[in-house]
Amino acid sequence: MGDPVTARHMPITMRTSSHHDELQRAHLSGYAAIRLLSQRCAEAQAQGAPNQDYAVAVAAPDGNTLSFCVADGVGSSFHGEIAAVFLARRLVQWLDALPALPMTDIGAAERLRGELITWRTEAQALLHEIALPAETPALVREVMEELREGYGTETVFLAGRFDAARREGAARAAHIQRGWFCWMGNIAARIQLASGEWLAINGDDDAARWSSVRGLCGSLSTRHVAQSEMRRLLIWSDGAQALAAAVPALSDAELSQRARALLELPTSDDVTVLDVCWCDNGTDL
Amino acid sequence: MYSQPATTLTPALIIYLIDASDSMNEVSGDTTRIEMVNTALRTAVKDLVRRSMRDGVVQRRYKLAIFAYSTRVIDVLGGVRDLPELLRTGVPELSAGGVTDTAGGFGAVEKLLKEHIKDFQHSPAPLVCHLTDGVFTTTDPSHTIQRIQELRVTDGAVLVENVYFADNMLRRPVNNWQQWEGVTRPHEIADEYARFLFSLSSPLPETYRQNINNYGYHLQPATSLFFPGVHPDLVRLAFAISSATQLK
Repeated sequence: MGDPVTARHMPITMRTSSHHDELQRAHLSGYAAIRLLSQRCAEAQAQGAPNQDYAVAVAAPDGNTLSFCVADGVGSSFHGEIAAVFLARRLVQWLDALPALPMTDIGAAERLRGELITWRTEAQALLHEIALPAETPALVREVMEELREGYGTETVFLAGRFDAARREGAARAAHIQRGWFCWMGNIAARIQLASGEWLAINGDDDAARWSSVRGLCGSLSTRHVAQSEMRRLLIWSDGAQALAAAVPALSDAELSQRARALLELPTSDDVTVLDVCWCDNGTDL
Repeated sequence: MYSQPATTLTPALIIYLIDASDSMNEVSGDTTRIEMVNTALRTAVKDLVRRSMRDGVVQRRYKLAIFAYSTRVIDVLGGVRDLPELLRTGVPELSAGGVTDTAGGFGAVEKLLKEHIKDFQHSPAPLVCHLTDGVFTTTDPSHTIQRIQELRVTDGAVLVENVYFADNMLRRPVNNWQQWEGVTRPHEIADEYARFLFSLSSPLPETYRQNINNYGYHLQPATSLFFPGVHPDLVRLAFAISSATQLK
């Protein structure tokens, strides 16, 4: 079994860009591959506005540890993209700093609830650095100030961490030991097992979200997963719902093309897909 | 049905038809009926702004028209206006005076809808939010209202919502308006004209009901788009319903 601490000395970090639409790919020592698709909605692209989704993944080069988060800022809050970036980074830092994954959900969930409440102050301070443009109509200014003080910036998210261990001398894919997920809201995730079966990780509680003013709005959900030979992890924001089922079978070019096609729909929304494959040589993805 | 979200490509059309006859100057609680309407209208526009915001910019997800009727009908905004356009000029404040030409008001709404409905074929179903405090004093508007309700887009038929200002119109008194479940049957209403307006009110779409209940209300299934305007909270609810389209 590799030493997870040593292996994490040179982590690989992938994160989405607020203004750049792209598909990124990284390979982890031949045992895992990650691709991360990020595309702003048609409205945002037309106006040069930032993506309200944000995703970050930090992996040990040997693929033995992976911490990740996909977040979708709430558009009707005050600059929801701020919450998405802030919280995703905090969550991944917190997850990556854990010495080992918790054996049970209970203690970890309680600790995380405490952090989610503590982080409000720092996030809310970021909002006060934003000055509204002088030309903002009076009623809009009134709404923005009410949002800033009453709701803050809000986001839904799904984050987690996998710890894996490679069998001695094994040349095959990493033998996944444990995974831990936490989420609020409607970011979706699935894991593919060695049998080919897909396991859905989350529910679809649209109302739950994290707020820089109110903290936890709704319940924080967590789930501990212990499986051998997990092959694939898929996480996507609701803007990618229409193409999520097809992602495993799509090449990078096909995935990008299918995402671009979503821009034509009236319901065009920001799209984020995190696709991780633990496979023989990283080429299954 | 009634599931299309309001987006910049498929904006939602909301038409406010407001009785601005002399009786709307009557006192209601510590304000007047017309002032209650002005306050609720402003709050509704603020809610639309919240639903339309992205990166601090109000998107063109809603289009509005406002008609005020008394002896004559006034197109307050001069036609259909984008929300950002309305915000640049400000939310108008209505004043009251004259008789109650309800048929004239709905006639103006019907004319505007027939002219513009082709532009909203893939948008949420247009909604007409009508507020009144008294019986019409000219012709019966029923047929006009029914013709409006027969107009359709892909998302569904045009919705007509009625808000009626009158005392003691419900058979059972309501102690907590936040918990009010809505009106589902005519016999819940004691006032004859209220029953008339109820009969001309569209059903509340289930998607809108779920959306508005997310804000802490308790409207039950199969309730109608009919609201007693007896309390500021209910007037606010009625206006909030007018913008309860799906959020994308």
